[in-house]
Amino acid sequence: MSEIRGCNIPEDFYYWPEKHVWVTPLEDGSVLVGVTDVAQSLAHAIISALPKKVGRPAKKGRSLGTIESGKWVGPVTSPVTGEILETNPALAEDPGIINTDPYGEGWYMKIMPEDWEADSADLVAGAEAVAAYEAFLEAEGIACE
Amino acid sequence: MELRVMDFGRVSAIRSQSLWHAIAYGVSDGSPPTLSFMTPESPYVSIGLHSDIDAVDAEACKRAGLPVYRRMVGGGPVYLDHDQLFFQVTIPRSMAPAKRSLAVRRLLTPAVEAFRRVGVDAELDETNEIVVGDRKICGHAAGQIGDALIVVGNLITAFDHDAAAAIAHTPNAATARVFRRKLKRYVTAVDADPRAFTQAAISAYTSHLQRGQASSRVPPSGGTGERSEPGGRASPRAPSPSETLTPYELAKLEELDRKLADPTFVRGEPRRSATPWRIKVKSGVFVYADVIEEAT
Repeated sequence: MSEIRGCNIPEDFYYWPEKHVWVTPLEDGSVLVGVTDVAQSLAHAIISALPKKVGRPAKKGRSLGTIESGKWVGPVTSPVTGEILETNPALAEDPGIINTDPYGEGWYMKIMPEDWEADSADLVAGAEAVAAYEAFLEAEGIACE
Repeated sequence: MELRVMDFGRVSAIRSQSLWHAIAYGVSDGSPPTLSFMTPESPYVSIGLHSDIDAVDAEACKRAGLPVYRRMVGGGPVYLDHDQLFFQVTIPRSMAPAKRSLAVRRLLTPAVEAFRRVGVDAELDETNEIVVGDRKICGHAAGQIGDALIVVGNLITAFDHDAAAAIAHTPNAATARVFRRKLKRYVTAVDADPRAFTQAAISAYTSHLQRGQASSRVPPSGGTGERSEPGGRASPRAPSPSETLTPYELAKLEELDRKLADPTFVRGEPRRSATPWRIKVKSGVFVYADVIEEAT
């Protein structure tokens, strides 16, 4: 786990830093998607999560659903194109787990990507991800609280 | 980059929602930052994108002839009517701070300045509520639609607390009475001229964007016609959407006229209910089913 400006950036995930989403491939070819520690910090206390329905298409760069904090509703951007397989049922009861455990219990949804190889090509991972995120956070002046 | 200003005057209830949503899609698609104004010609209820439809007393709304629309930004159910001037500021997401609370604060600060210019001693409290003393004077909400950030608010020149309280579903009559009493205590209208407020807001937001975009030219443009008075007659100078919106925004407007009122969209998916049950009066002030808490 790397920490940049107070934000946790695990090196074993793929990231789309500008959209503040992480993605990790699973053994069955599906991917798990969530928002980063940076995103939850920027949002502050998340009071509601509203993922799109299972079976709906996911399109890279488009919204997978929304989260609300402080009267603000914002999208969770999809890092892949595919089909939504599962949404995190725990978010309905306690959306605050996105704040407390964004890379674990606070995952957002599971997607079966159409072409993971293509979609992952412009995501960053490992040390490259940490460096990219660090540059992004520096440029934006963002720090996690 | 310019600040587009659009004052639509009095519009139908649904258009008082669909117009600014269409503008948000437009700004996301490349339209310039936009400051917009409108007043609904008839009362209705608006619920936030994440609001539980069960938070609204559907029977009470039906009896009062109030349509219920769902908006695509945050916050809870609200009663809106012709004594409220709505304003919205919509900018590309990239122009705002990444931190949500800071972005909202920056985009509400010019509104506070506008209130003060028209004689209202408004302040932005630590929760980003626009208040006079401990009373809320402006309902606001925010969200990201596409790549546009939008913050909406209102100038309330008269507030029907009874009507506003009646639209809320409450577990019992005693709670309803307490909620109504708290609304009267903590939410208030202001004595301000909507025309003057509109001009003050245009000036304040223009200055704000000029400061943030030092190299940009930010003249007000578009429909800057003198607006209608909330509660009064329509202004003959208010431009129609077809005169001011882009073709893309006009297409989205028609789509949103249908979507925001669509019964399936308004009903939405089952949402998480607060446990224990509670209803918000203003930031930090709630009414509970069996206990009242006033956090500060």
